[in-house]
Amino acid sequence: MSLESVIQKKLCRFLDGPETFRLAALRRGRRYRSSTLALLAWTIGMFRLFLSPVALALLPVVILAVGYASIAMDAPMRAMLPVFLAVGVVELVSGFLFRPILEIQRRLPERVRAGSTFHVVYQIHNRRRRPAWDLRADPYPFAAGFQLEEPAALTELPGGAAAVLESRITAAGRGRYRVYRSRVESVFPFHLIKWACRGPRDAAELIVYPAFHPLTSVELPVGMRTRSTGVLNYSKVGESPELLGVRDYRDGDDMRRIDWPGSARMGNFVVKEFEEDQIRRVALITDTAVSRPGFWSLRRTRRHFPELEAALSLTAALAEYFSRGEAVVDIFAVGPEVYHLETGRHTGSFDSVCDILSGIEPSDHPVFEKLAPEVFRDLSDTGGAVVILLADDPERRSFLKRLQRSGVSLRVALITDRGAGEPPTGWTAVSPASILNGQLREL
Amino acid sequence: MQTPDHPRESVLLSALILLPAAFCFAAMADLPHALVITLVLLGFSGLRRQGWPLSDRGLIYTVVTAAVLTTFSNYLVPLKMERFNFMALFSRPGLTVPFLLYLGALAPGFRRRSLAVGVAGAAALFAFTIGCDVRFERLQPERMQFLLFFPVNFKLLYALTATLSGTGILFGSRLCGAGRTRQPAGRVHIVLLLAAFIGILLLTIAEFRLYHRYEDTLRNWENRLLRLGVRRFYRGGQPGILRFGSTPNLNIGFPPHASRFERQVVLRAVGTAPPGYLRTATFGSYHGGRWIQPPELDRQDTMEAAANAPGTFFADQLYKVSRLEPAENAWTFYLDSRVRSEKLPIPGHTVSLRFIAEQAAIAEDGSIELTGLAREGGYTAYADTPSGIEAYPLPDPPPEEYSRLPENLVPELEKNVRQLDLKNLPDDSSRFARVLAFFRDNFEYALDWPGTPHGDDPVQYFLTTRRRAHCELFASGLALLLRAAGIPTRYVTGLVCFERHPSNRYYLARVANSHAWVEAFDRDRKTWVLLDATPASVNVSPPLPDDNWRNALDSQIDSLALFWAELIANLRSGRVANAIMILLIGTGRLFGAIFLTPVGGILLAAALVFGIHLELRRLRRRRADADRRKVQAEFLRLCRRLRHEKLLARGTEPTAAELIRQIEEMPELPPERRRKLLEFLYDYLVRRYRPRRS
Repeated sequence: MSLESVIQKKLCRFLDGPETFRLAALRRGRRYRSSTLALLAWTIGMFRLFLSPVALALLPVVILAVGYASIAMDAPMRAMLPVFLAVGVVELVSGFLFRPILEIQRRLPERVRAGSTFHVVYQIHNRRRRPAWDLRADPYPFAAGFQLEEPAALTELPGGAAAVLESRITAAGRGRYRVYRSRVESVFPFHLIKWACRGPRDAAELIVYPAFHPLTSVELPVGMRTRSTGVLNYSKVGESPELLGVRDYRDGDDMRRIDWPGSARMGNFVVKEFEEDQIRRVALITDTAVSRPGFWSLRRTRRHFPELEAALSLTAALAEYFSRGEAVVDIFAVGPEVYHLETGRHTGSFDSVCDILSGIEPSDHPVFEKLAPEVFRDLSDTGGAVVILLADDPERRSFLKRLQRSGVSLRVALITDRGAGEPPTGWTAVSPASILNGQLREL
Repeated sequence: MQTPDHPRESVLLSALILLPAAFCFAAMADLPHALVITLVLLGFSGLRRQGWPLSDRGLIYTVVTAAVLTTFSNYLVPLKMERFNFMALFSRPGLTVPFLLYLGALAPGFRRRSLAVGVAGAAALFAFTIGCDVRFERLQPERMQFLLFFPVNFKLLYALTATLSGTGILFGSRLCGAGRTRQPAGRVHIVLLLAAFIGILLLTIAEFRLYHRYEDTLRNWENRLLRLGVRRFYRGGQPGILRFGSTPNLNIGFPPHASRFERQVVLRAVGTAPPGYLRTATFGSYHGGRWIQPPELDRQDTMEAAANAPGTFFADQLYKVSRLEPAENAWTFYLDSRVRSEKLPIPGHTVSLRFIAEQAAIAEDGSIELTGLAREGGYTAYADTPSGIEAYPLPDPPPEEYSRLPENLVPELEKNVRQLDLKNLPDDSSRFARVLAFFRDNFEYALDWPGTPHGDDPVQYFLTTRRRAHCELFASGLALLLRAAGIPTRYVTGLVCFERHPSNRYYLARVANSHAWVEAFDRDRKTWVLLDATPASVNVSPPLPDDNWRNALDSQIDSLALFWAELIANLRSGRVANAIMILLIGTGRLFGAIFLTPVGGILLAAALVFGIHLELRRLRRRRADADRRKVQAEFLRLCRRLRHEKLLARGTEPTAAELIRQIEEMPELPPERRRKLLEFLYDYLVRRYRPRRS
């Protein structure tokens, strides 16, 4: 590895910030990441590793008091300096004597759904003969989206003994989270200075799927209606296909299917459509472009974009719906790179879809110009498309028109909270809350 | 994100930590509202069972609430800064401490135990650090009158409340960490905790003992480190700025930078005789190396003159000792802009004053304090005698304060009194002479006072050990020795103005002339007497500056400064005619001073002539340049005409020489025309480029 790449790697690691203290502004994938913020995060992270929140609050005042007392030599504050020193010495000595030296094994689920509660189990074994006091496992939140319902804590672990601790955590928001290496801390005696023991290199990735509620029916135009089970009509092999009608020629169509008389009459090429040409493929296109004022971009996290979350939740629900049937679902999304996934026909790849959906980031720029090449590359087998939009603007409409011109039947879901008038014909306006609350069961 | 803790436990923990600190601060600073508001806010925090959500908005509202409450309460009930030590000037305890206390009282509302304990602990420590850095000798309760019913030992109060708060912090912190587990603490655990607590106590006691044992060494080291720069600022040592009336502190060393500015003139006095000793401030009490003015000076505001201009008060002969009529001897004083003081340096025997100010007050000890002094107007002091060595004649009889001695110095001072046999002398005059002789023969004047070793009193250190110091120590030693002999004295600071300007028109006082002396009450003659124990050669008869060109130039510049000050003063006072006369006279003198000197006059005359010559040359050149521009314009006109006639290609800008060549090569040009053009061009060359006459 060249020196430059080593430096780049180290710089990247520095800009990521410490594992135990994450700032939204340092998230990967941002166009600009601040080294000043990273330094701040590292400083706070380092202090947090050794000092409790109470000690962190007291530290600046203690430093001020020591400095003040050295200048104002008649200040009564000077009498408190021995007390600070005594507390510090006792805390350090006691903590050192009873510092934990443990074997830690942590079991963490790989995937959970947003909004669900999961358990993290720790098996710890005290390798010392002295007991360990006031233990707590993984004291820092895994990420901002996690809510600790019950911590894994233990008051006393005798020397040589083992114990199993369990914490309950609720995953509030979807995402892919890097969980730091397992860690057990002791804050004995006065919860000022921490002594920690770390587990093996078991930093893991926790994937939180977007929460979704299964759909019971999805209506696609062009006369096609799927049954509530989501199974599409599908012709069996060996039977003569039934002629359903003609349609405009699309790139990729078989030249033998061109209806020459019909083309002569119409003035442009048309092809015959048989029963077996029913919708075998459904395109599911998700818009991830959200507008956010630049000033707040550093502070905003996923929970600030309910439209996007609703869009991804609906995408997951639709992918799940279609994957129950015989159609193949092509999912297109941008966040930040272009994702094109295939699922359906009971292929069991729905998990991969959810993995990808969990990692999608909001896009600052219009996404359809990125998606268009991928979407229009091969539409020959695509019979229908469900497009989930976050806004209505000329660029999006032109994309939809292009899709329609390609002969794909469209179903458009516009996710919006604002009462901005009636959506165009054929569009369905859906509120994010109705998706996220599970009120939306049919489309 | 953590879920909220127990509903109200964090409020109780915060109360345990904050209330002792708030009570201590309220008592020390005499701000009872700080305690009341803290209590109310704690109650408010505990109102809602689930507390408030921990969000940006909640935090901002909390900070804003605390800030608004602090500002309003400080406005309504301001802090008395004299209760605090000097660091309060920077730390602003009236604002910072209540703000943090209120913040600490609101933090439990978020129901996060760590947050509540942390913020409350920080606020409490801050209150004990900044909010309780007080002068214990000045802690009379005024607003918290109930404290008067209890013999309040503020040091004990501080110790008790600090112990309570500290215990609360440790207890609260302990609960933050351990309280989340369901498993109760075992017996061994509790014993170890108790052992840790006892360990803290024992270690603290051991540290205190060590500190007391080596306190002198520690403090001396601290002093040395601080002397590197901080103390200079504390001394008021802003370079080049002279402040009058600040509390003398003999404990700290003589500012080393002061010698750099000793020659700077700070006051000019126009009069027939030197004004002498100019009093600025007097001090009656001595304590621990400082001279202190009593907290309540007996002031009278004497306003007797008519107001002349709206918005300002033109005070004329405002100050009286014996009478209103101006006396024979007058000095007009002009303070330099570098002097920062609201107290006027005036001779001790002044009977009336003339100045421009908004408000004036005279203290019992004769010092004048002015508000809104128009410094550029100068001020005039009138006295019956021209002597510059007079004390202020009041009060008679002297108050008891002028006879008080600090208890720790009594044995040493009485020993000196016995050695000098002062009590057996027939009268106070002879006592004065004996003591002055004692200082003259046994002590040395020097400006290298290093500060007092810790634990010693500076006067005692000066009298017994060092015997070499500057005027403040001489004056302090004299004052206290005379008090030990039963003679009332007061310590006086000000300026000594005996130096005559070489022009013989006025007198100067410089930075080096700031001085301290003593006024003692002669019990036999019932009069106040000025005594100066500092060796006489230093201030009263200053050495004349060397007679060299540099000092002569300084004198000339100084006399210009006086001229300007007088001009402005007269204008400011409305004496326009005077101002015009001064301007004319001053200008005349200036020219006289410049031209009537053997060297300067010739040089300046030569410079003047040379300058005139240069100016004439410049004018000539300007004229010549104007001619050349005219000629150039003609040439350009010709070129334009030729282009119009198509004899010259468009876009070309030939020089005169090129144009001559082109014209000579133009076959289509009539010969007559060609001749005229060439004539013009040659003439142009001559006129345009002829050499300039030098």
